[in-house]
Amino acid sequence: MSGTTDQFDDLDDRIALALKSDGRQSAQAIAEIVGASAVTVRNRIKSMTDAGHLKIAAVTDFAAAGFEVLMMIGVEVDKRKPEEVGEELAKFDRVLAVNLTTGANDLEILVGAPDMASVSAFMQDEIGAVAGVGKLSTAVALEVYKYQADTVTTAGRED
Amino acid sequence: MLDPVDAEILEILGRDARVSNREIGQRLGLAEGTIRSRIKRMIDTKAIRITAITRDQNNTPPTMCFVGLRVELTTLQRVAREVTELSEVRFVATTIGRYDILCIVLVESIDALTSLISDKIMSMKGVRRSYTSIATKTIKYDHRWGKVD
Repeated sequence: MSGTTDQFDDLDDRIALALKSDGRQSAQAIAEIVGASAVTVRNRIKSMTDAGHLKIAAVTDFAAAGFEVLMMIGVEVDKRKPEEVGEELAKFDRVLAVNLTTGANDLEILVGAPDMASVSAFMQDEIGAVAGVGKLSTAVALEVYKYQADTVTTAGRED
Repeated sequence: MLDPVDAEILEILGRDARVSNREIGQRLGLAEGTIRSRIKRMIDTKAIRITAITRDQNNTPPTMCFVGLRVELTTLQRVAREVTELSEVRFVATTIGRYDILCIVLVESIDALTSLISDKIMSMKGVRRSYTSIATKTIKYDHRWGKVD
């Protein structure tokens, strides 16, 4: 980053955008896109990364990884703090996301599974075993059009 | 399709893709060339994408919202394709269960959310109702998964 603030300036934004389209590009290639020197690009990437504002990582296609089933489950929490229930649900590998939400449900969770047969045991033995999990409202994905997980939101955390 | 060795490589690359092929090879006991060719194959077959994940760099970090849609079923796939085009919309799937289409959106403000839903989404032909809930706290979001085009 420019060094004086904790925020991205215009050059940081353009470098981040270039990295989003291809995180393996060399500093030289990015330098040509954004119109700065390779040394500047390398320094900017390092300071954004060191500050925890940018991470270059592989995103795996969930279908290629063998996840046939993707479900968004709204969870009503009974007689327990929703946040505590959310923390417990977050420990399961198949639970890809957990958010506290406004509205009818206390939590919205995203679940990936290799097939429908495995969902049954997962619901019973993992989700069902968490105290406080009440009524579930499920939407099962038929066809995924877009799944772009490259921005961390407020209070976000990486696992 | 990915095999167990690919999965081991992705366990490392999913956390930090700047690790060199040589270092991954050393950790897994494989040749550097093997790692390089496997990564190339996974990228070429669109099983993975190496990208930059950014966080909270602006004054107003985006808020995540879940928007469920009920639509005329004869318009299901067209509406799904139309919402996919919106930049604020980060996840779109046609679903069975409580919604016909589920979207996850990132907005800068409640005003932006209102305008996204009423001006852009509700005006699409075939959309009957929307159900929105706002994420007040993200406990987990696993960035290692996504749809690679």
